[in-house]
Amino acid sequence: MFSILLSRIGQSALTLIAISFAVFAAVFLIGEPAALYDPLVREDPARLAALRAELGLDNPLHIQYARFLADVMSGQFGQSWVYQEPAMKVILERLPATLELVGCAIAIAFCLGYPLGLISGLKKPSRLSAAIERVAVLGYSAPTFWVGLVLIYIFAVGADALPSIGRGDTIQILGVRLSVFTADGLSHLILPAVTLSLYEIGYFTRMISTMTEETKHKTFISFAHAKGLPMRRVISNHLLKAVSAPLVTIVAIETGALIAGSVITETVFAWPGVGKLLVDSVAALDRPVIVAFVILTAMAFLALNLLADIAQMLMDPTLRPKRVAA
Amino acid sequence: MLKIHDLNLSFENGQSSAHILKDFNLTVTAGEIVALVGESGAGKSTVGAAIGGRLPPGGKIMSGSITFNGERLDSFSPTQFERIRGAEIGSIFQNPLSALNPFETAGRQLIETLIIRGGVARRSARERAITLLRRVGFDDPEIILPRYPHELSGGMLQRVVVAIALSCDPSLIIADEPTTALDVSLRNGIIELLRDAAEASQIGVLLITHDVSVVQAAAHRVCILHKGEVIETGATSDVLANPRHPYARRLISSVPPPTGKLKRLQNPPLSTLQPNSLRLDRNDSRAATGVVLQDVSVRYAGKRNIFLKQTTDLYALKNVNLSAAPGRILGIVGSSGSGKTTVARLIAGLADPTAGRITFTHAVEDKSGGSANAPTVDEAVASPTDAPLVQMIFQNPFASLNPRYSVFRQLIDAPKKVAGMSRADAEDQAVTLIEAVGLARNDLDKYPHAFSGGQLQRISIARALSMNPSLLICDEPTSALDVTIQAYIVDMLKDLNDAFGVTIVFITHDLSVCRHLCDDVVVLNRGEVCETGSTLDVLDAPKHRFTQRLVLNSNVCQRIDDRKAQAIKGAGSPNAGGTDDGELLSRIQSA
Repeated sequence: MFSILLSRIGQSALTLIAISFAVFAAVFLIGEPAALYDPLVREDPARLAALRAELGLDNPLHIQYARFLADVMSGQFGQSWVYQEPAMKVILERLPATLELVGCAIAIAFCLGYPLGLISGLKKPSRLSAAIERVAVLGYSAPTFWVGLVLIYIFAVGADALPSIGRGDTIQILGVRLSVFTADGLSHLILPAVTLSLYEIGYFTRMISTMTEETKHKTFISFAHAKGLPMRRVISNHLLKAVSAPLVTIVAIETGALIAGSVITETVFAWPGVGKLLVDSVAALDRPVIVAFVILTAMAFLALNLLADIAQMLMDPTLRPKRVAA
Repeated sequence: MLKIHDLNLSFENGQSSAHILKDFNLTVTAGEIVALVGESGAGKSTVGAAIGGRLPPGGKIMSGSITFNGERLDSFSPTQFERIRGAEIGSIFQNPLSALNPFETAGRQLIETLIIRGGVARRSARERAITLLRRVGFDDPEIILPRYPHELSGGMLQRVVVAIALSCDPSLIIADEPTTALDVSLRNGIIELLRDAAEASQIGVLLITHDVSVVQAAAHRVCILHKGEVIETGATSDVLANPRHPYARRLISSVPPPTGKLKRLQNPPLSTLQPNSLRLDRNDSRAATGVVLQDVSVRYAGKRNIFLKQTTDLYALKNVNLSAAPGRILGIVGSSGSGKTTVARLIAGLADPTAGRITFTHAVEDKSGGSANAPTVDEAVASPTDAPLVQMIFQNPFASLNPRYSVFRQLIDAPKKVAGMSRADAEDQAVTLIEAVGLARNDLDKYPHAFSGGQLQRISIARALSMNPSLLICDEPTSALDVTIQAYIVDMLKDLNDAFGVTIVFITHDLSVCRHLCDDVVVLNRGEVCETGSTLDVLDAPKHRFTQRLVLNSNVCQRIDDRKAQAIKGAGSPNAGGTDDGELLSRIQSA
């Protein structure tokens, strides 16, 4: 198992290198970096050449890439052109807000989607399951920005019950600023988290419902009934185990997708997270921040997948190496 | 103890309803094994499900009664069923690998039943589990308990399932095809366990099976079910010796006799097919094609892990030499995992050998009389025009025919696209073929789901014939089918060989089918050829130890009856089964 993990980590490293190259190449596609860095030099060939030499852009591509890679390895993503701070620092300052939002959204989605999917899958075919499925489809086909606007209209504008802009009060916990633990912060969190989770609730419900229905027709479930186990025990001990193992991967992938895709929700609610930062940076062509963001997201994805692999290996004995040499 | 009286049962699905059981009667008394026999769709499993209260949705008892130990099961509620399932009625399923939960250890699944249904205290449950496992033939139960299902062999798992069925001292065990998913060599062990349970613990056993030889070996009484009706019932020896109902006679005569060679089992209509009715011309020089495998190996390289420690290579085939002579039927036999299917895939070009040569040979008309084998084309250099010469029929027709294509399309696609036949010719040929395999012209427009397994396998044969092959590979073409249909298919292949001179490579685990059909036989064991020769020579006088065991095991009934005659059954618990289990056990122990 240890060696499997090591090889997974090795694979992740290779993926990361591939992504770094893609990012590096994409940077060149945006335009001449020296000209973008300082628009004033664009018209003057002499100053442009001087700046290129200063920035190392006159080196061959592979040397530039090697330097870029070396910098990335040591955590150097360059200075943000807009904030005049290290790009990574700018991102890391805003990351907790996004992680908090995504964490809450996933938690809501899981806590609602899991039982709903389970009920729908177990009761299938029935009116109840059909109703749950229909609502779930509605949940993941409604566009996020629209849901966000509707929620703001109802709860912030209409009822004036919940705030719709920013994070509210935050407190420092273990060096990280979080809103969940203050009443004001929590009230700010509710609307964006619900908006972000709506798609995932629908997705989880559908997914778990399908897996549950598939599993309940498996022979080992019939056999568990035939053994005389009560329904409750068949579900808790046999069905849930089979449903939960593949679920870990789904949760991990969706978490990664939300981190990268919270942009719209963060923009709608002016949530000061990395999503909003990314939109601002793209608008301002703040290249170091974009590069750092892409690489960080890739790392988050890979880390989550690795965690999911480990969790799945712990939950599913058939994925573990056999204890009998085959 | 169990008495089913005039049971009528039907399935309702929206508007349509199907009458599954008609006036069904059955009794099982304590200590008696009653076999319920019939082909798939006869309603056998429905009987078992009705007794256990596990009827699928839509299933409904219309009239009649099921009385078990004085209680009326037909009016039981789901909770009442929960009480008697496991505790009073034990169940054995067909495939132990799918019956046991892959996420739980064998021990926990056994102990769970003991605690919840058997009322055994948590403390003593483990002890009791060990006793049970010992009873079903495990010498060292301690090492079985912490294993997950995928870490045990099929035979071992079925023993665990039997242990679970026995765990709460039931008075009835419903065994639904308990040996069907197992290798022949492991069947005897399970049958002996059932007989032992019936005799020693006075448990009634309802043995649901399609396999007449299992009935003969295990059951005291037999009940033959055909289309939901009991057509014959009585003591096993009487019914099998003197079947009165026509279907019963057909069923029993379809079982290929263990010894000797019957000329013909059934009468398929393929005889109407004339060699010239196939539109696709075959180059005369390839009238019959043989195949020669020289020192062929297929190796799966062991993976190198991160510490560069290489796991050992796995040989699917190791230095295999065999040949199918043009125009003959070659049988390839062996137990599961012996590499039979790999051979088929190699010949069909679906897999490549790691080492060795595969050569196709043609019977060339020789002026001086007779035919000589001249090796000509190497597999690797076969030109596109040679491609249609090999066709394959797979084990499971449900999986091998594309469910989204009509039969018509499956029959004309390859001739049109691969062989360049004109559409009109291809259509003509499709009609000829579908009629030749005993189906009707209007079946062409249907999709695979509209057919039974036997019909689908006939369509598979028609599909293979549509390319007018000179070499036909059949990979266990009958093992998913009922015996009556098996007999039909086997005879169809025989006719094909007679009429067209098609060379057939027939892969099977069933020695009696092989004996009936094949001219020559190759015995494979763990990827190596251990014996070859003419079928009757090899099977009647096996020289290799493995072949001897295979022949011995293939005849379940004979063996157990012999033992009874010698009165050596008193030894009690059966041992741990075939050597496969023994080896696995020793590997587990050393691990």
